[in-house]
Amino acid sequence: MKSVVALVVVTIAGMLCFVAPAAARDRVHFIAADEVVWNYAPQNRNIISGKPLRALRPAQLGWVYRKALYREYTDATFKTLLPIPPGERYRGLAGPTVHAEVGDTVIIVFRNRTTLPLDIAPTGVVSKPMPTAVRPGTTVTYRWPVTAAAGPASADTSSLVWAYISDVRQGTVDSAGLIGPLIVTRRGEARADGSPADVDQEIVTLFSSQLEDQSPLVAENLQDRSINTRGINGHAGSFSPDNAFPSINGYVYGNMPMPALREHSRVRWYLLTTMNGFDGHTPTFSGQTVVTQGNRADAVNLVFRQAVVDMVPDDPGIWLLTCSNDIHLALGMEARYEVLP
Amino acid sequence: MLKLSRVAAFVAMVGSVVLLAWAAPSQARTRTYYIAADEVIWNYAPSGEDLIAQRPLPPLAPMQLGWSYHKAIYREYLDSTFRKLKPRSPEDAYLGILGPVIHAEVGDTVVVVFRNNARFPLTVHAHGLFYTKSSEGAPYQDGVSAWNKNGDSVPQGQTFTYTWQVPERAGPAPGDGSSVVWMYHSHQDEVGDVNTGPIGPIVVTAKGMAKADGSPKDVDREIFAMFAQFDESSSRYFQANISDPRINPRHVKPVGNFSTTDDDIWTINGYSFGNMPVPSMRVGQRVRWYLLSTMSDFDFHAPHWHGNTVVVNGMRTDLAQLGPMAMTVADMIPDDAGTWLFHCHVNVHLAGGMEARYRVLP
Repeated sequence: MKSVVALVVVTIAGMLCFVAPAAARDRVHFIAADEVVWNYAPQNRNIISGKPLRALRPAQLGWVYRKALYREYTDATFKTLLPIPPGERYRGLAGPTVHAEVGDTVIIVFRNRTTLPLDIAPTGVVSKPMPTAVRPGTTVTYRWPVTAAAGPASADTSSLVWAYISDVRQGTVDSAGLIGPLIVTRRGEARADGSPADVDQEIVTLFSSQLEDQSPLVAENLQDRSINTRGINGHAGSFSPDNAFPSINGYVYGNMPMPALREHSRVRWYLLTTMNGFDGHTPTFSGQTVVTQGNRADAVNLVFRQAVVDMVPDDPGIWLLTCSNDIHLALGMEARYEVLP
Repeated sequence: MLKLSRVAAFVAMVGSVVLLAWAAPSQARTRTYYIAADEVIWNYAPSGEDLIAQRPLPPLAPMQLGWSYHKAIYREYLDSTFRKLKPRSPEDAYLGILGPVIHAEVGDTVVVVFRNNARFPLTVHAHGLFYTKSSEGAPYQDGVSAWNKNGDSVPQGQTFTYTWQVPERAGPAPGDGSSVVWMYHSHQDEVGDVNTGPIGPIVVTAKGMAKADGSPKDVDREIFAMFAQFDESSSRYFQANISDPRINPRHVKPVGNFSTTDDDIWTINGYSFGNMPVPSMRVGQRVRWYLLSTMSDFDFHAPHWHGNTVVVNGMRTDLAQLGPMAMTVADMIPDDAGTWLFHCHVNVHLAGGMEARYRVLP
């Protein structure tokens, strides 16, 4: 009988220990909107087919455009970029990953270093103050309290993803590239860095049709002869479709650096998308299957939403991650990922 | 205390016997299919009528060749001689352009002996199942030398054997029912191939939940429906169709890049305007619908059943949602006898003939 009591006591103590709230943290990020010269195909080849890139379309400026991107710095001086680990270079266009556990507060020190009025506005959580246009060259600090309402519901996995975007001129700025992930982990299920403890590797991918004709930087791109080397006229009839880049993390035709996964590890893919009329994506994995919303799949319907996809790779090799919408595929919305034994 | 532990021991014993029985592996099988890609002239509306509205088909769009096109489709044969087609039963006639249904239980191995009878190289690429590079059936720069990639491009008249394993990860996840559906299709030139026609379904049933034929025990009738925007200008027979007067009697000439929507055919299992043979089922049967879609730019569909409801992902509905390359399961226990409409609820697709019927017998 004594041992039973002891067992009960130990069990309760263990449970208490498990549910004891981790100290709520302030998670501070120094994020700037920077103007960056972005290359959709930096390897200058079609890496999937092994052939040269397709010819430029008649009114296509090229593969390189000036864009506005969120980038993370080490401190409030915004002098030193936070280095991106070599294994995460695939992140490309996507903004820095912001992690939080339910109960935490995310603090974003935001500096607008572009020439455009921009902000940084989260979905899923309420920003204080409410984001409004931040004048070029100025800095604003936002607090994002991460409440239970922003965290996983009962049917969700241990973490979920929201997008933060600039919403000053919504519908155009996401074609400048201003979007990044906010990952929220259920209370008690996070590591110290906010990532979910039951996941070995997280990979963020942005499936986006970047429409350069709608970018707020289109005029600069047209005028800049280092970008518009052929002197394309912005009023050309096919300017709009010829400068559309359905891309994964801002890369086309397999130019995304390959994420490397370990066989039998627990990999969580967070899928983001933008929301223009040319977005309507089906991210499709070859070689492995995934579980999303409790269902087995290898293709995910990603239309104006975010998705969380869990994979335990079991088939080593180099595999495709593509959009199964044929127009997007033809325009290069394809990447590779590698599973190491 | 003693009594309690005796009861516990008994419960544990019974429990482990039950568990052992449950976990006892059913015979893992190798399921072999002889599948050829055959050239056919496919008619999207063989009756020549709109069978839903009971009137003639709508007039051809200006750049539409007609309702019949050269296509290549997967067909099942009895053996490796590929001489005799395996007959398709009348109750499966509605499968139409779909290749043979491949069934497997978790733990099985699927072998597809593939003969390419089409005039250009094709392959068989499976979704969901486990394959090594030699059985992937998709050529691209994957760091594998060519000798290990014979399945990536099977020339006309050649045969290649694909071997796919069916591990746990190819079967139902905790939120799924007793079976899931995958697609197999040619991936030599992916977009061109899919618009050309070689596509079929794979059903994977959870371990211990399968009948001998691999289909799920807790389902009485399986129905497959593929919602496809066939873009004939992306078909690998595009030129052949243009230059064949049987297909193109009006001598439509391609203009510019010919990217009109006139040659987009809106289909369910390769049929438009109700021309799909009507599948039937009985009131009270456990019917599982497997829904697929292809990969064209407007392959966003809203399959809608009249007359009966379904359960998708644990939720009651009468309308499912498909994006490109979707693979979705919907369970129905029909309670309302009659002939009912089953169609896509997107207006343009509906107007284009993406509609069929199903019949519930009392």
